[in-house]
Amino acid sequence: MNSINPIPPLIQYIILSLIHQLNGLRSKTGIERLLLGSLAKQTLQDTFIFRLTAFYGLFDGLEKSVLETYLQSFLMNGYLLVEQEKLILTAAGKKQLDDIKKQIENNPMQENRNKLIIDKKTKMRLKDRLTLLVQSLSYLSQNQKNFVPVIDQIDAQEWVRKKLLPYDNFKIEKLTHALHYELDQLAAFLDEMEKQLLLYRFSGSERTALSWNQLTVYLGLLKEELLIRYNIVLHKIINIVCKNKNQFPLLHSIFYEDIPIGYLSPSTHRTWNLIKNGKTIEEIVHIRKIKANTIYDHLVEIIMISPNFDLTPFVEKWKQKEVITLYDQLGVVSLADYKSRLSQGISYAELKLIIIKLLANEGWGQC
Amino acid sequence: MLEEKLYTHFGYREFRQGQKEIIEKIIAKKNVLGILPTGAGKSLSYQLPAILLPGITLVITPLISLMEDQVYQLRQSGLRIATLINSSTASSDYKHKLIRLRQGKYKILYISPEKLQQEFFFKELKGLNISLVVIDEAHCISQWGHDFRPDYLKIREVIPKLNNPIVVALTATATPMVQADIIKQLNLSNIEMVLTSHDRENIAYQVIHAANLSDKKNTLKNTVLSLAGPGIIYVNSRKSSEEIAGFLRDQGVTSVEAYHAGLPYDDRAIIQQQFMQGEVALIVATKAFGMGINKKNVRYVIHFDIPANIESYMQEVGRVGRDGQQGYALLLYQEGDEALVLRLIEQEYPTEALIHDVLYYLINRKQKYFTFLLEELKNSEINDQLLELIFFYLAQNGYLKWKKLQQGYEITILLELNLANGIALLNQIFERRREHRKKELKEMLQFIQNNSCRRENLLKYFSESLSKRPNQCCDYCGIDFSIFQKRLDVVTKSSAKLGWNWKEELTKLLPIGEKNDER
Repeated sequence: MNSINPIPPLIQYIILSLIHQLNGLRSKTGIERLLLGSLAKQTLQDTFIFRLTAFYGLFDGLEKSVLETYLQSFLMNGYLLVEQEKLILTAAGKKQLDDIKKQIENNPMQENRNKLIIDKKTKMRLKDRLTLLVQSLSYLSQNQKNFVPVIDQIDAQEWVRKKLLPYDNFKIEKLTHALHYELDQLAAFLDEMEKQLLLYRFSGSERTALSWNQLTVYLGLLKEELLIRYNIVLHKIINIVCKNKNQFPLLHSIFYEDIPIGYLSPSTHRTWNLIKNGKTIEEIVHIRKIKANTIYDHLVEIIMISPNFDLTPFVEKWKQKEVITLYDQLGVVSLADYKSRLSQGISYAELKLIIIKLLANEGWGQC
Repeated sequence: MLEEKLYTHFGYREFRQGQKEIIEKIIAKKNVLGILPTGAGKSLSYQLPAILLPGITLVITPLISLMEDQVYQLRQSGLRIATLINSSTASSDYKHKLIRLRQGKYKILYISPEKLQQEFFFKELKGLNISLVVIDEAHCISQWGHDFRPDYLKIREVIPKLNNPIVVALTATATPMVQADIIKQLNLSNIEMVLTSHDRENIAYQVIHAANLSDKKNTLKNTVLSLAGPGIIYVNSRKSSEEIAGFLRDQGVTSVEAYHAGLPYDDRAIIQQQFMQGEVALIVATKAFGMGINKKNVRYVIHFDIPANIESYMQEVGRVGRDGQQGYALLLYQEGDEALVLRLIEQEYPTEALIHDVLYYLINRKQKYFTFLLEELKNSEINDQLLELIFFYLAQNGYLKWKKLQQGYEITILLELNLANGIALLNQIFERRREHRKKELKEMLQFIQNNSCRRENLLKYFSESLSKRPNQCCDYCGIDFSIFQKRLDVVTKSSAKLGWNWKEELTKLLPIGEKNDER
């Protein structure tokens, strides 16, 4: 990326509208982390509490320095300004956002209703599996048994190998038909550009995939925009398949059979196992020798990917009620606004937990 | 008869130069150092014995892609006799492979050198009947080689513990000095050499001096536009790989791609595959491209930047014409090109400040035995390679023992270190290494500036003389360029225009219907 190229409208739109929605609450680093898909606790919670799942990780694959040059140029031409380290959208920035919105045809962000937190590792694994399955079936259905896999990730190779067992021509034919059919069904949800991005990144026996540089030439867009659009396509597919399980049984098995969507830190995993065994917070504090607040943070992480989690054993009913009443008045702004209006007995950790659960009840964290 | 075996297993009627000599020695249970130029069929010279000998042949090779390529090549010729184990082998896969190895289902096992350092794996190896150990890219064992890898030196400790198998060391390029060093480092009492000439008869060499950068690019463009591909252009940095590819594309060269270690991994795999399949005709690459790419019909290699030494140059040029057909190697030189290489040489070895930080850390741990991570050094220059170089030379001088772990290093201090002495010692060693590299670069420059037969000069570097001058020799002896010209009737696959149609594209990838009823 060099500064000679103007920033593509879609990229401007994403960055400016994210900052608009964050309403001066986050710093440059906070915004960068959200777009790049950082797994930091703060970033994950921000994504959820401010309902920004549609933006999370969209810049995955881009260099951080590229994002920095974008922000720098917005600061220079007055769309943004920094106040007490927070990024704020100026009036000029708001106008630019409105103008640019009109310029983008088929804006993929307009219909991006992704409510899942899709972490990059999971996303990569799904993409790798699908890519390798397509390639394997492409060769095997032509009776070509030797090919060099374009994906050298062990997880994907193991998964595909298992998927093809017990191996015979009938199985290959059945899988090839099924995948062909399901991808065809999927196409109904995608526009032309998205369909091209999807298929041109697959390799088969008749042709190899196209590199990003080649796609840049072929589709006439900058590499940065392509990478972002590709992330949006992946988000979209993950959601479509998740919502329409019966229509996409094969794709569903790629995405959901053994990997839950979403990220849990190893420590949260351990806490969750203890909770599943019926342990209380006090008991976990004792067993794991960690602070109660840390465990509340773990609960937040768990609810973000498992919205049906029952909060009752962990936060008293009256506290929940009080927060819900206030939530109905305020919606989500910043948690600091809540704290001052609540009874002393409700801790910050509990407040956060209740809010997260409320959002989960509204469908955030689910497809 | 060996020729019969060759035909049954590999389908060739006769051996290529050097192969038979190596095989005969192996069968007679002699250790061998074999120098076979790139493209001369190095791997066959141990694969055939592997089939003929009882037990398993262990092949130690530095690059994973190289292993995969070998296993794949064998499979393609119908020989499902080889497998590979390296640090990224999944544990379920690993167990499965070990079972099959114990059952004798494989004849050849490819491993990476660091695997030898893992005790539990080594125990497994000892349980297998290993009759032959092959050290591929053996020049990596020599500190004077162009690609020295400290973990290669561990090989010599391991071999005797494997019930003294036959040992074969193979390399494509080695000067007499490196040859002697390989033998010394392997510490084998009786080793016989099979030297074939470094000469590649089917490559014509040319060097063109450019007055300035635009002259150089112009020459490159004109050459590329007139030559029949596929071809590879080597450059010395990621940045110029992108720049030159972009430049050529702008100049009307279709089907050209950049390749370097900075690309996302899936893009690297895609571009490599496109080149193999003939969908891309020209690659502008750093030296990251090449090892493990076994494309037979590469017609030319162009060096846009000066190679660091003649060995690297020969190795890269050696990718031309593996099918035995005529090939062409062009080196473009502009005065001062060597400056970048000199900078790279400086970065290749630890600086005094870095040596200081590492030694300071080791001394102040005040422990005889400990493990630690790279990050603990809090030095921004540090990387695994530099750190291992320091460890290696400290170990060689008896100060410590070290082992690379899954994460970090395990250190046992043997002799007390003194900061000042330690720095002086290492500095002297690395200074000598840098001097050696600079000398190599100077020899490369000499090759460029010599006003006589290129082929003879190359051979002289390896202490060889020319036995027979091919028709297409070099720019001094004369080249008939008409044979390298692009033929208009040959259309590369990629020149077909992509037309977008979802259904067609999908069917191309996943064919359904009558098409696959062939079986």
